[in-house]
Amino acid sequence: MAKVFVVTSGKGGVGKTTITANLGCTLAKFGEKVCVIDADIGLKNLDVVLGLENRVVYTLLDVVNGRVNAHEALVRHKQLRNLYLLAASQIATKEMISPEDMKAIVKELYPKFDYVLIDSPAGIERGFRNAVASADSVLIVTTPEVPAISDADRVIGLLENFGFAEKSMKVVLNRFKVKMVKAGDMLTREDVQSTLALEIIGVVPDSEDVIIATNKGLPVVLNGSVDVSKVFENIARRLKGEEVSIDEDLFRSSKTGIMALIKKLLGKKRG
Amino acid sequence: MRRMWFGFFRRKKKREKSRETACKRLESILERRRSVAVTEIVSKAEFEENSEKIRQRIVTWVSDAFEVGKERVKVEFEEHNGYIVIITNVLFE
Repeated sequence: MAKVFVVTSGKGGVGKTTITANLGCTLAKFGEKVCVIDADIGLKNLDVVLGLENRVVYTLLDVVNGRVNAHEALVRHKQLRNLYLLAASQIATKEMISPEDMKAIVKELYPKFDYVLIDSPAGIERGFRNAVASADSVLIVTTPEVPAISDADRVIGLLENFGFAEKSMKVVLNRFKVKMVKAGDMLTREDVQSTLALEIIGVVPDSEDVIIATNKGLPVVLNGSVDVSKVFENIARRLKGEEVSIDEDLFRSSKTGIMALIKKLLGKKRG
Repeated sequence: MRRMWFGFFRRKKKREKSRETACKRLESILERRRSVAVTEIVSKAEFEENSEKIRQRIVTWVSDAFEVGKERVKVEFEEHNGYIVIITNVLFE
């Protein structure tokens, strides 16, 4: 039976899809059988981030309409053979799918997978309700900025009303800039944790590699960025229940010195 | 010239770091936010079954709270983005 996670945020543009794609890939790299579902109907992107946009034949809507079953609609990843995508439809709207439809789809999929990750749309309307309906746990993605944290707080309140316990909700702090934090110009991990009063499961550093990887249609964990890959590996291990200190994430991104500089220069040349 | 001289040696006011500003703003935003009143989510079928009872309870509560006759309170239910929105109009005079 799969563990079902929904990746949500409230505010748009904080990196939900990138986090879903990279976590899915990392878990698959660890040998887990993973299904990622794009619940952002109408504004789908998960297939693009995974580089699978040309392979999508059937979408979530085809499953809901009974044209195919959920397994027939899955697209297998090119490199990671145990990673599957259930894509969203671009022509449909969120109102065409109900929370009950999502529950039925996930129920059909989860006996065959170890992990199901659902990429939620931004906002707190129908699309969000569809995405969270079938999940056991939630990953709330936020950046260390006031609007993103404020919206994340709102979403946490709604999730509590939907019956999610505090233990089942974790925060992923994305686009963290150690340099700015050191200069006193960005909220720290502790600030975010005390504001949201939830455990932070990962701190993903801001990285140009993510943009380069997205341009290539290859998640950053498959594109050779060692530092960011290591952070996603840490998050995946924590999801699996392993004890990995959160300081490991920050240690990687705060490395300075001559070796880090040389690595950075070499990395830039490669890119 | 004298003013410039003194200005040069005057202690510069410490500029507030943007992290501190962000912390204060977050605190005030989250303080002002009203808590979500929802304590229980009911299914659509359950709501439809009891909608008249809910309407009557709202009418009674509003007419007591504003001291107006029940006939002056109008309650409507509308669905927006999967949520039920309760619109209550009170005709005072």
